[in-house]
Amino acid sequence: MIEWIGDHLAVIMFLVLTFIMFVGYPVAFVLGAVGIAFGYLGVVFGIFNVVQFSNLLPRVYGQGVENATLVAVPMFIFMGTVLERSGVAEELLKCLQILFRRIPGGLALAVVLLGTIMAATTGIVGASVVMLTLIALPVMIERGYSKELSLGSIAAAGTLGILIPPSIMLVIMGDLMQISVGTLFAAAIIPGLIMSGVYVVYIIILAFLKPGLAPPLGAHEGPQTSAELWKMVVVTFAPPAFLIFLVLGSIFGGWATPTEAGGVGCFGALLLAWRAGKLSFASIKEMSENSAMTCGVVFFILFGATLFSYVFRALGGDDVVIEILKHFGIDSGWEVLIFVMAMAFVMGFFFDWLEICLILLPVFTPILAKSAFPGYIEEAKLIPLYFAILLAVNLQTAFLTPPFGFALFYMKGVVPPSVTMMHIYRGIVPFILLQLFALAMVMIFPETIFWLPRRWGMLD
Amino acid sequence: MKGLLRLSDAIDAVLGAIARFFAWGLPILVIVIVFDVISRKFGFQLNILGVDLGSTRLQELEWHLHSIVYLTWIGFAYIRNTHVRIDVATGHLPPRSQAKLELLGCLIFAAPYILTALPYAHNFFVTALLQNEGSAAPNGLPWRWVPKGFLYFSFVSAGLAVLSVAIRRIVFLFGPPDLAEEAMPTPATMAH
Repeated sequence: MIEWIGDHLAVIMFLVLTFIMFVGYPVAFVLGAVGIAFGYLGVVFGIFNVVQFSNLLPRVYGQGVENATLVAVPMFIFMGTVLERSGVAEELLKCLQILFRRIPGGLALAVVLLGTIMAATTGIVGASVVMLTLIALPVMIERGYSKELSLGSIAAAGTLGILIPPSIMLVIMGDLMQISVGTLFAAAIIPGLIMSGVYVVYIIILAFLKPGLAPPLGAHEGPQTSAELWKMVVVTFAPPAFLIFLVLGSIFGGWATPTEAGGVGCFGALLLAWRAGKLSFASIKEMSENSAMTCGVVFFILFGATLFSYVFRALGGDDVVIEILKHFGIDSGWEVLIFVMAMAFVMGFFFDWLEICLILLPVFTPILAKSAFPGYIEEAKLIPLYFAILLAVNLQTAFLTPPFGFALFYMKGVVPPSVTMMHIYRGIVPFILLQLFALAMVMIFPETIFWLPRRWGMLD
Repeated sequence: MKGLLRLSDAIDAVLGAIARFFAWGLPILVIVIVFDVISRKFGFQLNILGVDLGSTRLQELEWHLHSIVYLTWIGFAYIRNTHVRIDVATGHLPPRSQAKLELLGCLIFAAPYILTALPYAHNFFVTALLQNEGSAAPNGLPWRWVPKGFLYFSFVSAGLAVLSVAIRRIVFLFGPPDLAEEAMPTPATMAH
């Protein structure tokens, strides 16, 4: 018995972590505490040495502090916060709404497109979901849209922010998997657009079949002459286009690394906020503090997860995982991949993308890198990229799956009291199914991932 | 009890002031990055008071600034109750039960974690200071004890924050009613 526990300490550690999370104490502390507690337990069982504790701080320092890549994280967080203030999104929604005024479901389409465009300027989910809910939900309800469709499309569109570059999640994945962040960004573009396209098709079909759910706006709204219409489009699309050009252009044009592009994007967002008259000493101070707090939250989880995964691996966690996989007959590349995808999906019910990445990637990246997908992916070096993007697409659902979808909680925080959690849950279910469909598409057609980076010569 | 509460107030005030001050690192970081990109593109470099600000130094300065910003916010974020938690199972409990759980969490999870990490963080910082460790790059920044010092500070501040949160729960649970009201934790805010 004792021996069995010693051999399986890593698995027990993982189960204990999952269980303890539900006590409701901050995840960052729990991760670190479980890591350290099992380090001590490992000492008792003679499979961990106290001296190994002294490796922990250098690990945390190397992962979290002296790490140039992760400078992108605060920059994209800051950029999202500034952009939220600049009023760019409100203007854009008004414009899209008028462009789609004759189409059934036009407003929901406008929200999805807005989410897609905003996703290409900022990299955080919280900001975009809250922003979209605040500006779009009242309009949609007022226009007689069904609550479920409104909430579902807003939540789904808002979460595109972590998939469509620039994305904080891709930055952290790139860092954990040692893939260039620029390549990951390029690879995520088409899958992101597929996801957004699937939403669009669904909304059009639904609004066509059940017009009562999404009544059209009527042609009398907005400018009537095409000249005025064009003027409006140019005026409102210019700021986000400028920002997308600044951020993605500077990365793919080779001016700046993805990290620096975050800084350049912040600068652009500050310019937009300044142009809109929203910039003052007090507002910069407030935006800096809000962003700094989010950074503290994100990186403290990173600290905890670094400690956790170090101890997990020191206790032989990798071997145990491989052994368990073998025990259940999961050994070909496909089986492992599908297993990890299923696991990430299930973890998404309870964990945030950050914990999932930090726990799954270090364990499964080396296992998957050694597996083969014969007749499918010929070059072994492409496998980590394939895996990363599939996981990124999959983790979209981590934001939406009840009971613990982050996007749902952000939403609940800002919706009017007449909207219940049940409305939100019912609204997002079709979108989760759509996401799984998009995931299957990307999985079956890996060229959706490789085509763009290959074209831009990033895979050589 | 009153004295404890004042201690808690003092911790909150000090950590808050430090965090707010260093939040300015973010706008400064934006300026440094933009300057770095432009100066590299056009191939010039600034020399201020005899110190060359080449790209290597600027890029090291970037992660220094970034780290300093978030390391000073880790503790204060706990005081502001913004660290992510999974409260599906416990979020609806009455305030007293939640306060008990939080206090237990401080004692069982946070305290052992922080107390184990602190001596290592201290050594890590002091070693860098005594050896006058600098960048591995020839043109890099000196003084690695600065970021390592802030890393140490992040654990110190997390420990102080845990102490402050625990004190408030103790006063709330076991103190006289008027003080309990004062110590009453702020309502849970949404993560981030």
